[in-house]
Amino acid sequence: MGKNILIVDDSPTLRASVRFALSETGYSIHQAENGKLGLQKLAEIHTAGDRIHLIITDVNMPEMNGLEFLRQLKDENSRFRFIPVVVLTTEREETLKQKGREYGAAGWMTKPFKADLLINVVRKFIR
Amino acid sequence: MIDQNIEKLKEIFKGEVDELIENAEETLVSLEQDVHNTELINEIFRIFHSIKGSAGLVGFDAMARYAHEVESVLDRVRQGELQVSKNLISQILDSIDLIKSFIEFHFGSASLDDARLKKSEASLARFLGAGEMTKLQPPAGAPRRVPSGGWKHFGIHLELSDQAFFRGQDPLLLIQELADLGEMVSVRANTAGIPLIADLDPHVNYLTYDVVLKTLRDRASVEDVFLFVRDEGNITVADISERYEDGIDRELADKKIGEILVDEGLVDEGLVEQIAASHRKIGEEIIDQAEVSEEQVSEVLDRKQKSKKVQIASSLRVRTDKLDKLINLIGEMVISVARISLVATESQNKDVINSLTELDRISRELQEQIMMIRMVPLESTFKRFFRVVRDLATTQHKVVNLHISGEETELDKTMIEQITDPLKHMIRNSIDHGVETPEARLAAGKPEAGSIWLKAFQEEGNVVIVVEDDGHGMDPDKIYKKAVEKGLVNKKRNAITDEEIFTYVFLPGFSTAEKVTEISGRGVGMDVVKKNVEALKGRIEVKSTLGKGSTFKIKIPLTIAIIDGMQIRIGSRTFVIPLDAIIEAFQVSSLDLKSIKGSRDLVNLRGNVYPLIKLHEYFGAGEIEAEQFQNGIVVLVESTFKKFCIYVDEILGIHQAVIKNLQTNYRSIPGIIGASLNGDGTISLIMDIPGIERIMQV
Repeated sequence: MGKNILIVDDSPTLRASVRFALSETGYSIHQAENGKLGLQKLAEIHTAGDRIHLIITDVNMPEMNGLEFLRQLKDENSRFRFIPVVVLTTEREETLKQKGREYGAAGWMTKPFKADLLINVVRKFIR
Repeated sequence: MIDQNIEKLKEIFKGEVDELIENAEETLVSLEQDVHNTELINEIFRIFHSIKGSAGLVGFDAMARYAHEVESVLDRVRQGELQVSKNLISQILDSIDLIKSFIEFHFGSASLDDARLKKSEASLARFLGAGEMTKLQPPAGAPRRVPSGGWKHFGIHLELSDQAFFRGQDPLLLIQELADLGEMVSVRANTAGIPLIADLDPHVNYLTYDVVLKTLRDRASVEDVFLFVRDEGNITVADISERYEDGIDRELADKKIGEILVDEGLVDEGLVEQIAASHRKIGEEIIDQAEVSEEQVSEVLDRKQKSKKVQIASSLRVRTDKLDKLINLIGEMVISVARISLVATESQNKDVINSLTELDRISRELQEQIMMIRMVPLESTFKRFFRVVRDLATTQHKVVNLHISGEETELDKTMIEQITDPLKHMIRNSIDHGVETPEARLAAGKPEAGSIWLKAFQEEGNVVIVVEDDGHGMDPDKIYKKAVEKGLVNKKRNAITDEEIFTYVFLPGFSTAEKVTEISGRGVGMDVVKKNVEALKGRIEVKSTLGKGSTFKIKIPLTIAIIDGMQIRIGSRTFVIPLDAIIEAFQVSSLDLKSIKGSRDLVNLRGNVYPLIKLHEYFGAGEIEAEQFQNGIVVLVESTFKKFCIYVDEILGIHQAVIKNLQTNYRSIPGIIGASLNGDGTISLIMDIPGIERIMQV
């Protein structure tokens, strides 16, 4: 069965570059523009009987930012609790990173990224 | 990414930036009317943040750098460090224009106005304050490094945070990723952390892993696997290439099978110790106790064998005499260091003393390591005996199986050469005098085939070799009768214990064989065996149960070149008594001493009476200091036949003696093995306890 990745970022360029970077892996890439839409997308896919195997999210987004998205995902009652989340952001600040980790982020990547590095990162969570 | 994708990506980028700029201009206009609206400030910040990120993605680095500077200024506004002023708004509008010209430069034919860019950057810098201009860091996550320097082996300990599952970090995937880097030599999960099922939370990670990876990559590439987990767990990557050759652990050959099984978490340490204490074969015993499967044990044995081969393949032949010279030199160095240490202690110079302590430690370690070079396993010696047993059993019309164990035990090469003949003789004796004919065995209710066990193991710094048979054992009465006939004893039978009687077989000229056979009982008796063992500073013991069998136990020091001893003073001379012969040392009072006319002095120790030997006269060490004698110190030693006490004037301490042969420089002295140099340059003579037992006719 194919593996699904959800990329949550307000920048279409970023979303496209992730899509291109992962095009060779054969994974299906789903997209959302912010955290709120990301949660909707997740619900949609899971209701349809499929599931997301990895989420890649930005931090700075309108409507619902990445940290809030992460917090809601990892909430005790969330059914998406055990989906690994990699934060992909230009933020390099340690305290923010620490916060992400506390909220349950599995990894932290900085933009801009190299395609092969992203593939390596994805491979840490799905095969 | 392929070019086509890059072109597509650039198109998407252009669309994004156009939209963002349009947004930015609108937001700025609103902001001008409502300078305190944080939402608007955040919005404009986010726009430049996005431009920066996306520009970096498509490789427009200069543009990304510029957007970063604008973002930094806006960040100060966001933090309340800068006010939204007319000035600032014109600056941002100017920046928007610059972003536009970047786009025209990348997508149109316009050239970039460098002077204008510099001017804008300088003005942005003013908003930031001097020195606060931050540069965009180089992209993180450099690609994996290129291979260098051939195959490497890494020992990886992987201990993820107990929250790993919650974060979606799967140790299996990390291990699979490691496997992608090369070849997995071993992967072991440590299950010790798993709690009882009642306390188990399936969402908590309890396991840790140890992996050995053979790879062409460097350490950094291996560490990259743990990019996200290395900060929170306990993960170590150690280069252990020296230990491994082509995926084979060199050290495995030196380890006992039990040790390996414990190391690899297959069995419990306690069980191995228990089995080791019983001197049974670990491998078989563990399989018997259903701890591990036979396949697992044979797999470990197979790896051990391979390790041995690697060891041999990478070994170097060195002439023994060269090695001996080295050992001698090191021995002298150890003594020299001890001598300097003595001088240094007197000088009370702390720095000198400290560095000498270090030097002392190193030189001792060096000595130990060099002694190790001489150690070889008993295996080839032991295996030779299969043939000996078969040949002899056949001529005697007996069926005898030889069982060997502990053949991996190592011993000094010279000692192995010297122990081979005595062992051969003991085995022959066992077949000859011990194991019965098949008929006799069946009649005695024993299996038709007799067994001889040849075992070796290390015990308290000694190598112990045991020759055991399940024959008819020794008859103490028969031995006593023979000893009396030969005039070897004059004591009454009931005055001697069976154990003591058994030691008579070591007396010169003693043979219990009813008829002289082809091999044993032809003059070369157990006395020769004993002498050979004693020449190696070893001891031999015998135990026997009539009808059940006999056990001969040889105990020899690991090496003959160094001996641990107690340094004592007798009169004016210092001596060393080998530590393994000493049972205890104590002060006697006149109450414990008994002098019997015409006989020797005796010491009563907790109800046991031992002969007391005074060596002053024999060694020409002057008179016993009379008034001290009543409160003198005696050292209780154990020799082949008896335990006895040696009177000493003073105990000086523990002494590690490098044995110097007296014969080469002087002549052999009965009762003395050799000499050893003391730290102060004087000499101690090392006592030969069995020799003293003979000379003093204890």
